[in-house]
Amino acid sequence: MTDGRHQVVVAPREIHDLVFRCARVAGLDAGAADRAGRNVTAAEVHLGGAVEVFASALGDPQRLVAEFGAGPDALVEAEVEARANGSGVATFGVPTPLAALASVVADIGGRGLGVQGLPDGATAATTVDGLDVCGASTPADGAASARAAREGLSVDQRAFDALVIAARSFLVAESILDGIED
Amino acid sequence: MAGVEIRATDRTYAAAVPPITTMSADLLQAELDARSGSIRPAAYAMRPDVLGAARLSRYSFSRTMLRRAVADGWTAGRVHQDLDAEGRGESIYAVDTGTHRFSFVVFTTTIDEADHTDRVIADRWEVAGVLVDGDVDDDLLARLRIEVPEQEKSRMDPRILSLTRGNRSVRFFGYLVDELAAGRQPDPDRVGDAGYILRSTAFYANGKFGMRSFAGYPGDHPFRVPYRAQFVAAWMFRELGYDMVEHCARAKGGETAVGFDGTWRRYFGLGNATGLGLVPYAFKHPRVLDAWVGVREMALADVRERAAAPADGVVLRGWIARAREHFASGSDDDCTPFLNSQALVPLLDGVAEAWGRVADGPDPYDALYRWAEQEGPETSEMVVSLLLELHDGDDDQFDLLFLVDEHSSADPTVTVAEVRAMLDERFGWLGDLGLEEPPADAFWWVVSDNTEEPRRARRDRLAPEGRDVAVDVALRLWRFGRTLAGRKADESVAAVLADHPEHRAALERLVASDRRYGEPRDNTCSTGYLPLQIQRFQLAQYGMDEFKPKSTDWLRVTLFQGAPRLAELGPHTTDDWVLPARPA
Repeated sequence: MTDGRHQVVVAPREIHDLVFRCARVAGLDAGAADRAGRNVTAAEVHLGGAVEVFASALGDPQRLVAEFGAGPDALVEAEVEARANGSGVATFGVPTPLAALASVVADIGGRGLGVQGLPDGATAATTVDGLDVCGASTPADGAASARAAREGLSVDQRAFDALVIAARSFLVAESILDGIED
Repeated sequence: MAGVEIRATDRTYAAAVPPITTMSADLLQAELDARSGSIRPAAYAMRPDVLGAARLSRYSFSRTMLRRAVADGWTAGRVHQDLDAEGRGESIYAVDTGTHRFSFVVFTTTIDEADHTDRVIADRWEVAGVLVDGDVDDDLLARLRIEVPEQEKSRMDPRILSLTRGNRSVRFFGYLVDELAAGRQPDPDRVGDAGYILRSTAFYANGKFGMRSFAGYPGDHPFRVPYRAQFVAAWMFRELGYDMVEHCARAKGGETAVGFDGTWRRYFGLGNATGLGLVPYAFKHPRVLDAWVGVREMALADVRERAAAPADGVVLRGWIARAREHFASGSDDDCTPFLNSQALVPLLDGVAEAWGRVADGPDPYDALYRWAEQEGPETSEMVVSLLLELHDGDDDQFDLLFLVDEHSSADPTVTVAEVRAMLDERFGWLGDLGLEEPPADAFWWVVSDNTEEPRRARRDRLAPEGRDVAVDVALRLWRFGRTLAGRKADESVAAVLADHPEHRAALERLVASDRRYGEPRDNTCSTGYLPLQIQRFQLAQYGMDEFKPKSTDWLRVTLFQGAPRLAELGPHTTDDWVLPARPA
């Protein structure tokens, strides 16, 4: 997806911070926006291409909310079901990219449950209609995370710039803030 | 909002960054648990006025950094300087830790006096620098010349560990140059209590603008300790001030010029101006805050439990006298709500008298502290810092105690009853804040488009519309509790969030807030909220002193005043450099 395009090296926190702000602007509450930031960052680290996936949703706030807000909610509901009954099924209202789910999958794994149905060779852009929460989790691989923290992440420059621009809407003009002070 | 700040290290990410170490966090909690009967309760230590009376201590980051430098045999010095007669040009300083080399690359210019500002939003600076992991080759230097002066508009890469900037002291830089150029040392009365030559405004790090993430330091990296990179940069920034003044004096005075001599060589620190940017950090990182407070409380408990020892008594008496002498040479400027330097003199006289009364009794250190607490927070926290000078904690261990794993994830299956119990245990103090009253919700926190500086906005004048920064912890948790009160005890919290997604952030915060000292007991959105208090606590932990508020929202401080210079590092360098006396 990024072949032939300009890349820029960014720190994981930059992705999180930008996604958070964009998600807030799109209408997600603070908690969901923070979760979106964690999901996209984790997906970029482990799968690659997540910044582009998120950037592609920026122009469609409804899609962004459905994928990055409702998608993780469905997975969480499946975890609740699985903890009660041994297994749970997450059915997404729209095909949901793994960019919207990666950190939640890791969190569920951290509580001992596995997430089934992830396609082999999946990327952050791979979409799923549903996932099963059952069985045991597989050990997390920290190598990619450590490398990302040490060396940064090479992401598509155009997509990253799109996040930077969209995130500006989270800010309030200094002139407005000065104007409302006593 | 006005002001600038040491920009903080930030959170680690659930799946993006591995936990730094859960062992260190557990270790601190175990140490605190072992002292549960003697550490100060959070109900006191986390009171805003107590936090707002904190002072630098043995475990402040400027102190721990320099002790590490001495213990590990670091060497440091200037390796390149090319300045014109006005001090404009570039300089490179290097530090060698024995295992790694680092370079502080700094570009200097001059700007009109009218353009000097302490605000982080300024777009021109007289000093702009970066700390680099390794030596700097020509290619990197060429790139840094372009990027570093751009500051927030720059793109860095993971070789860069910290980005900073600042200005000359308008009042004193030229005066110091003139005096040295004329072959004279400064007149102590002219310098007054000015403790710095250059004033910094921010030390960005940890992934900002593409710099190295803190979690990216390997386990054996000398900067794998919170804020170590920033404080190495700050220490070199301070060195630059001396070098610039002496360089300009030589250029102006020629053969007549002299360098700083005697105690002037260490007297000046690095100024800093700090604003609202610190506040969100403090309210977003409960485990970090717990570590900062917890380490101090652990050390304090140890000292209070000590039996009397004549040698310790002499040391403590010496520190009280030293503090008195230091503050006696300071100003009586209005520092409301804090005490100015002159007002600290009678306070320290009181400490000396109290020590005289209890020194020969049982548990004298505990007795001194108990007396101090009765006198109020300015006294109690002054005494805490003085007592901590007697502590001899293992720095290897204490460096680890500051490392915090911030990852947490709320289990969606916990029941409403369990969450209520957690809320009562961790946030039972919310009921004391009057959160149902209208003034409690007067402000929301916003990020300005001008270099992304946090500010407060009155809710009745501007609606948040999704642009609020979630540092309204007290309000969020209080409202979450109200919602939980109307739910069935045995239903899952996931069900509550399905109906009330606006509480998701509150639940995550509740889960993350699993330490004693993680929460300032304050409401950032109330009309009476005073940012200066949490700012002062953070600045004291950094190792700053001379707190001079310029409004309710920002203040000036000094760090590294009295600290050894780069060339003075050596096995005989001692840790007793703080609170220097003004040169005679």
